[in-house]
Amino acid sequence: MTQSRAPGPADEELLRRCLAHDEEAWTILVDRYAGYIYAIATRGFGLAADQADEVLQETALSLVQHLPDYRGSGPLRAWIGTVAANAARQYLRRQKPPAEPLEADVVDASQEAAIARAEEVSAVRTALDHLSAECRAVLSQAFYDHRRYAEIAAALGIPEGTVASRIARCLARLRGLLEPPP
Amino acid sequence: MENHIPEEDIALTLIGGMPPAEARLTEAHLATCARCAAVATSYRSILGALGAPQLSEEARRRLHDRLRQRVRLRRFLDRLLTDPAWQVEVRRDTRGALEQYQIEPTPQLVAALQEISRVPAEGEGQIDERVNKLWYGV
Repeated sequence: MTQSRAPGPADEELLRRCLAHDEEAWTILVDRYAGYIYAIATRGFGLAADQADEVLQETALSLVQHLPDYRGSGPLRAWIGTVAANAARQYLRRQKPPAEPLEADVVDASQEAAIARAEEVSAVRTALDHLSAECRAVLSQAFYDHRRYAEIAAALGIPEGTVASRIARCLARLRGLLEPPP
Repeated sequence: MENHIPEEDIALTLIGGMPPAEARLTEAHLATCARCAAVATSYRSILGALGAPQLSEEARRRLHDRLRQRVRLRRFLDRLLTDPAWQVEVRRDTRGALEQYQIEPTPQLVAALQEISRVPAEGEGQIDERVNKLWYGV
């Protein structure tokens, strides 16, 4: 899968500054992992956007409280993933009366599976950054901005009838980055 | 040699861009061809990831605001734990002290800090304990 190092200071540098309560460092660190945390809440635990917002906020505040406990024995990303999964689980517990069982998909959502689904989202977003500007534009407009084909055609200056085929071509390129041929 | 459907046609079918008759042929092929079915599964996963909700700018702004408040509170509390003059200042004017750190003086926070600042100077352990309680309780 395509992986790239996030721009800006390295995690180790950010950690040092966050432990010294540097607001800017905290903002950069949380921004760097916000999409991942959000994906754990939405893709991993099936939460809606407003619920995922709450989980994201709780995770970020929990990171501020507990960062001194991070020993650096594993990747920071994995530790943040665990904090986010715990926050999502606690959120779900608060939403459900104790006697009422959670839906099957939530009960089955082991931490590993939830994080794996979130990693898919992160990998796809990272791979998207490696596509041509043309492909990034058409896929972003179709899937992130939820524009109709007519709107995409107008924005990109292409015939409406070619939008779907361009999306398909760009999806094939995206898949090529995510799963390079053997 | 078995014929397979071009990848782009599989993607086109999955996004609903293939004419109905051709889409039916593709779907029939996917039902019998393991290799093309695996490609379709891979595309479904990518489409699912692309369709995952995105963090809104408004949510990001709220996140930044709360994060800043929390980091400022940590700095404020660290000073409270180590600086006797600051303890006096917080006791004298709790709201003013919070404003110096640009921390929103919520009634609960002001009450908790006033309680902490009333702990006698010799009760250092008690201050630590109450500051921890405040930090993990907010």
